[in-house]
This record gives sequence, structure tokens and C-alpha cells, in this order.
Amino acid sequence: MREQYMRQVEKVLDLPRRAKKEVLRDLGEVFDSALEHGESEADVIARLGSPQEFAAAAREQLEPKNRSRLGWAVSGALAVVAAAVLAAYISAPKPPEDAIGWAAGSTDIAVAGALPNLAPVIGIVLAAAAVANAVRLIRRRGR
Amino acid sequence: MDGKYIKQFKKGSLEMMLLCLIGRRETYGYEIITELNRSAAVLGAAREGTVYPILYRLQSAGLIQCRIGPSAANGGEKKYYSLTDSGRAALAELIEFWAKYRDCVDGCIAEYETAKEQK
Repeated sequence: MREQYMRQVEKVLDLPRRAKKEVLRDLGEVFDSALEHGESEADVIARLGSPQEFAAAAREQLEPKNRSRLGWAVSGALAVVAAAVLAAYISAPKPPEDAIGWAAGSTDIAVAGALPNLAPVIGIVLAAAAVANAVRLIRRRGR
Repeated sequence: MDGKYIKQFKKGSLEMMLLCLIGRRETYGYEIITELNRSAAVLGAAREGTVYPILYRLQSAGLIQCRIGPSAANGGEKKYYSLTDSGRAALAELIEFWAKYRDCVDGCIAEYETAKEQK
């Protein structure tokens, strides 16, 4: 009963690992102390409410407020950089295919050649990371 | 009237009561619950699900601290809570506010009672 309750809390409690460990440790002590004072596991569970309720109450107080704000800032920054990289790639002046002398400077080729090829890849990867991070934040909030 | 308004009062003052309890001497979870339950007739039954989250909040605010120590009774371990310096300062401030607040509310009630008698 107790093990099942603790497993349930562990499953639904969405917190950084250290905070989670702390809550579970405290929950273990709640059971230990209550049993020591002659209460049954069922008594304790009746008082604690459902594992979901207990986990939600603990999480509400433990999750730093700025944790999700920071998450959104990271997402926003990634999106901005992604947009900038893609925009730079799209708007970068391209020499006509048949331009004579375009490849004349050896350094020009290396710099100009590397960026246009990698820019869209980098941009898309960053945009994907921004979206993935946003999705993660939204899902966590829904729980 | 349901207990909505009373519940709000209790919610607001539970933190101060916890600070008082922990400020008396180092104490642990079950003892806190037991102490609170001595006033269960007024406060209602104290539950870990209510008390622990507040302890977490007080701890992350730096008002209380805890240490893990051996438990006298069962050979296991217990988490012992005590006030930090800023916890003590915060409690002093709360107590001072509470006195003023109580006077204010009492004054309001006294004026109401007087007006009622004169009718």
C-alpha cells in the first residue's frame, strides 16, 4: 500500500531530480513516523489524499517560478537566432551562376561557400530545438 | 455560509503558526502535525499534504533550515527543522503586524457591535 502510494507519487511528481528525491524522502518519514505512533498505512493515506493531489501540492511550492520563465527565454532566443540565420541566408546576395571571377579569391570561396551551405541546416536545427523546448514546457504546464 | 472565509483566514496564518512552532525549538514533521492537531477543534485536522508544501516554501525562502538526524524512537532518520536568522526576523515582523491587524479588526467589530446595540 505504502510502496504503491510512493511509486504513484514518484511517477506523477514532475520536479528536478534532487527536489523529487527530497519529497519522496519526506513522504517516507511521514509513513515511518505515523506507523511509529500506532497509525496504519491506510490512516496515513487517507490523510494524505490521492498521490496526484499530494504531488501537485508539493510541486506547486517547490518548482522555482523562474524555471519555466527561463525555459521560455531559451526557446525565444533559439527562435530569434534561427530566424536571423535563415533570414541572412535568404537575403544574402548570391552571385549569378555564370559570374566570371567570383571564385577568384581563394578566401572568398571558403567563407562564402561554407555559410550558404550550412546556414539553412543550422537555422532549421535551431528552430526545431526552439519548438521542441516550447512543446516540453506546454506539456509540463498541462500536467 | 460555507467555510470559505474561515478557510482563507486559516490559510493565511498557517505560515506564521508554523514559524512559531519551529521557532520554539527544533522539531520534525510528525511533531508539527501533532502540535497543530492539538488545536484541531479550531484549525481543523492538520494534514501532511498541507503542511509539507508550506515547509518547502519556507525553506526555499530561506526562513527555515533543516538537517537530517537520527530519530530517538525508531532508529531511523528524521528531518529536523529550525528557524534561520532571516526566519526569526520575518517572524518578528509578522508578529508585530498581527498585533496591529488584530487591533484593527477588533476595532471594526466593536464599532459594529455598538451600532447594532443603538438601533
